[in-house]
Amino acid sequence: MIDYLKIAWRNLSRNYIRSLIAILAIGIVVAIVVFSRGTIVGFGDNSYNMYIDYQFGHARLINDDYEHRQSLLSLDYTIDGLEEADLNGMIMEIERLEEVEYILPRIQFGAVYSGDNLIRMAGIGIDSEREMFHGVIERDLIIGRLPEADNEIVIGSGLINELGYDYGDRITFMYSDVYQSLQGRTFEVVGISETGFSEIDDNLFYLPLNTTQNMLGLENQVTELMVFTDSRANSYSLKNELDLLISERDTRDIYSVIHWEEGNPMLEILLEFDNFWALIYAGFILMGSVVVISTLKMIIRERRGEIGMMSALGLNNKDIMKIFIFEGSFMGILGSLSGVTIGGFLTYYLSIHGLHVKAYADTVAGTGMLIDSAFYPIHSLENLIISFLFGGVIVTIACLYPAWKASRLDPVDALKVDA
Amino acid sequence: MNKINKLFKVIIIGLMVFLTGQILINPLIAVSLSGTEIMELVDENQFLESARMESKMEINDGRRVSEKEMVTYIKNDGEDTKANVEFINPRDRGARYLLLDNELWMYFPDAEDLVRISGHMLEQGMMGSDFSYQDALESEKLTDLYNFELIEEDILNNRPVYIIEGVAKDGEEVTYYKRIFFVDMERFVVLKEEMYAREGRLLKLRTVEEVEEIEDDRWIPTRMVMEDKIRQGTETIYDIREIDLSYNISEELFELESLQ
Repeated sequence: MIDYLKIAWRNLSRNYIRSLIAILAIGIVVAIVVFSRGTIVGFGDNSYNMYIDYQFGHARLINDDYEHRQSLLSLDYTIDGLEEADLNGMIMEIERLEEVEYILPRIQFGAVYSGDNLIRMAGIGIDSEREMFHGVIERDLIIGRLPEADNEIVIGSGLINELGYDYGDRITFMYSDVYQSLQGRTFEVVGISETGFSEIDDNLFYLPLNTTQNMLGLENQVTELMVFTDSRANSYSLKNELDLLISERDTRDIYSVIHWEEGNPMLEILLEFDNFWALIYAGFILMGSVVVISTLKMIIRERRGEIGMMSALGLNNKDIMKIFIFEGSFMGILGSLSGVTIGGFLTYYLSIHGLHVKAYADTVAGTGMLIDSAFYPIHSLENLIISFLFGGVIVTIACLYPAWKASRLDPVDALKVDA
Repeated sequence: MNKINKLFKVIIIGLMVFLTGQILINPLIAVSLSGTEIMELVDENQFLESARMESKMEINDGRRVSEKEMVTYIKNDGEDTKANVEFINPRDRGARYLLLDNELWMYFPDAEDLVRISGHMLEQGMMGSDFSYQDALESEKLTDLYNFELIEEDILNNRPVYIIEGVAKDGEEVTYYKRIFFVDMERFVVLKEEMYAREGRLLKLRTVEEVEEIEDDRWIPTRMVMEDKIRQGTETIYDIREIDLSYNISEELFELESLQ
């Protein structure tokens, strides 16, 4: 076996240029795979965390009828408790569940600003104390603090720019309460947030939950409970626990528990693509393997006499096949090594400096999809190992056919041709 | 026999005198009117130079019924309409609207600034009702905005009506491209109205349930139901409870400063 490996290794150097081209081809496609995997995983992770942090939690508890009307920001379908327990009692009960880390009660509603133009937006009533624990809105503040008193708001950076106001200003918005009464109210901007997601920055403002409940006529009600567990991996256990709770409390017909993966059709598409990417990576490497296969076929044609000689000297078909498989595998391994090196460096660099796609994020913002204007590919050893194995294994498998063809050559015919 | 003949003659002459008198008194019966002329009479009938109204809106959005009560002051000099609406039901108490120079201003007790409403917002349902702000504030004469054509005469709720089609005049910005009016032949008040989009889709249906004679031979609708056909299962009943045409309305009511 060692001898065959040595022969295969030595054969690589018999035509440097040809071997180098084959190795380079594999190297480029493996580098693309490393970079693509890092980017896709980074993009996915970024998006998934964004959806979880800002919109769904790991699971979201809503009124059953709210699900199809939430795009209208309906106030008619709310959460107001479990049987005899009011909203606070319900939250305490959910917090006692094993998988639950914390809960964010929220109310979403529509608002407008009427100036020279009519500007539509969404307000979100938040419990500032709980949001501080969650940390996301506070982290995104570029100035100021979370709203605490009655008429204080934190507003998205894009939205406040569009309105032409600034930190500390007072702004009057209009909104309809649950009784369809058009109301107006003046708020003080105590903070400006910037997430990098134009869908959020250009459309949202946050205000205290108590104020929201009071002004909308939704005392002791919220439109959603975002429930968090310790990790994405446990999110299905969390959903099951919540499902069980609402079933036990006879509120199955009233409330729904939505797992974060089911929260948005665009997100579901993104998740389905996760499985699809593996096929695309395999396709890439197969493309690179074509070069290796062609190279091997060329080598076999050139070495027909040599193959015939080896057969005549007593090497059986398997041994000949092994030599060519090893030669192809060396190309695959060397190519994959160079690929993970190049791709690894590129991914590492961008994982620090980020990929800036603001124009793309702005374009898709209208679809309701959360896309960050800059995202960071994930550089990981796992990615390098998987990509390396992917390259090595696929190229080796691709070499089986030309190697097998070489092993089937008739030694007499092979020697004749050479002569 | 002679007595019977005399009686018969008296009846015939009496009938002739009555009919001649009716024709002389009400030339409209004798002269056939065009669609535009009928709508001019409707415009005149509905024109309020000055009025104070107390009214109520009952909004049924298919899930919840809410009531709005309001006091409205209107002044119209024939060209511009000024209106001040104050909501007096508990939930909206203190909110006031002012229509001035074709602009709508709003005051809310919780807001520090007056809010000016314009553009698409005017097409929204007023207070969530099936009446848009534009429906409620329409003050221009219909005959200035639409070309009218008398389609046919018919009976609606035991009342003879003209059915008149109005199509927006070129260059006029109107909310509804086409409107069909069912006009009471004797009282010149619209008993039913269908409002259509340019492509022919029915957008709204207004049905008048009650009309009231506010002056001699002058009738206005006092209870009507509006259905927004784009929304589903909704309707708004607008009920004028009291109307006073002789109320002395202060000009201050139509000043922006007095709104706050």
